[in-house]
Amino acid sequence: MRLQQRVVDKYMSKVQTEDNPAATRGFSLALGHLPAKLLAPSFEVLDSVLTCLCNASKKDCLIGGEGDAETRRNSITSLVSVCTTVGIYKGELSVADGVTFHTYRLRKTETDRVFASLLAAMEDYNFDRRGDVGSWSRIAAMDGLEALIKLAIKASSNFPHTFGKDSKYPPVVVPSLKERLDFLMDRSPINDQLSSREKDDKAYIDEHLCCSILSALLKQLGEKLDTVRCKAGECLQRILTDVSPRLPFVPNRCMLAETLNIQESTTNWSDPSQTFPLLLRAINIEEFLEPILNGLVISVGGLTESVSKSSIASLFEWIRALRAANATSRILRMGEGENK
Amino acid sequence: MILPLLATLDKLLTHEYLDEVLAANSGSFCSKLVACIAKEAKSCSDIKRLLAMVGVSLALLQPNHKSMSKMRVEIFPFIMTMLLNPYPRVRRYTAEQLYVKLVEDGEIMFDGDECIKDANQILLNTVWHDEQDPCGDMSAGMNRIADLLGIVLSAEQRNVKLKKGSGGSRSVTKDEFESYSSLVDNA
Repeated sequence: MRLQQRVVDKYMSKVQTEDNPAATRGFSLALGHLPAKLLAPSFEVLDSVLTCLCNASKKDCLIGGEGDAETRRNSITSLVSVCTTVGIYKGELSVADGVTFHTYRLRKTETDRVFASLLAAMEDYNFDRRGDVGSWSRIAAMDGLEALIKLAIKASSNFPHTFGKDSKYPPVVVPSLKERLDFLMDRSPINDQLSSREKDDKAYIDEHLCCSILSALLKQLGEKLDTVRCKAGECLQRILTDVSPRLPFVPNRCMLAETLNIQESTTNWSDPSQTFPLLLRAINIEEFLEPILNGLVISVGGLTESVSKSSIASLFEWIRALRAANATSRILRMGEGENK
Repeated sequence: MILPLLATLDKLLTHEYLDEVLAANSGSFCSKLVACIAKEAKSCSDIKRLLAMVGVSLALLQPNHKSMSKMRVEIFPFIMTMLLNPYPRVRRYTAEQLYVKLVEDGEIMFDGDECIKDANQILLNTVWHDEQDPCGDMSAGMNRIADLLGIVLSAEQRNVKLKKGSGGSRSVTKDEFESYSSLVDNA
């Protein structure tokens, strides 16, 4: 308890109240390196650590009256480290599982909060005299989303997990008989009534979340900065090709993988002349039209000539193809506002 | 995010890739866009952004468009207000771009050939980038252009007075070597 107060409480209070950015950067990063027994001895402590880091990672968070990009980036890195260290709840662990000290683990509410913070960090476009410093947060958030997705998939029980590891993409998904029976038993109406609350609690990934994550990554794939595009491309490649664990609920998975040449490991995502033509093929997937257009606007209207040239050439080509195919409704989508 | 968005819109409009969007719903996209730009311009102090707004609003004026008359009514009052923007660079850029637009497409957009010539003459003769407007030349010029082109402006838009230093820029007539004057005098 004393160690708890002297370490975790002190670090959190420094991150929340300190006006010196050097201190908030260090303490926010240090929080992510603490062991699970200090971070999550109880729900209250874990909750306050997550709240502290989520608040510090917000794009409008101020340190001493000014925004600090490094604190935001470090908070995101630590947020993911805390999740990895503590783990996501998928049932009670015992001594047989190697548990020597009981710690609280992330439940559905906390996992959703972390996902929301990471997705919000993907919208960090803060600028200062050093340039697009928000990109540091966006890059950290992409790494974080990838790590958290893997944890969440492994902990979820609302879909089967076994997939053919050796088969070429797209894999034919045949879970083992036992798993299929367990899954069906889990889905039975009686079981639903008995433990629907507990099952909901272990459904960490759903269609909406999966679509939001992929949309955020595809938006970053149309970014003006080479490093951001490269990171987004690599993350997407890993997320969509990994079969253990395999990301469920991907809208038009095969089409997305094919249009982005996901199986082609030689794609240089930081090269605008390679990335934008691929991205403008993926834009034809209804769910991703808006995020891809949002990302593309930043490149088309940007100042970097090579990026602007490649992106605008691909965009014009797409519009010409739509005109040739008489797909006016898609062109009209460009003039619509968000959420339409 | 606004500057890249405006630059993208400008490119799409210039290359006529938004024709379908402009024609849809009897030009509602244009109305909404101009309203958004006018709102943003009111509180904007970023010169690059203001210049991009002028570029986009003029690019929206497509002379052969079927809802051209509606667009004209919505866009020109905004262009006129930009002629009296507090920033001299914005005023000068607006005047230059409006001159080019009137030379290129004036005859199609407006009926009278004479009125376009007169409007262009005023655009050329007025010093739009002067910091001060003590005699009200810029205000009078803007109002005259609006009258010649048949643009309806509100009383508030017609009576804009430029205050000294409101744009935060130095006078164009100021001597660049003024700070050395004492040295010259002493010598």
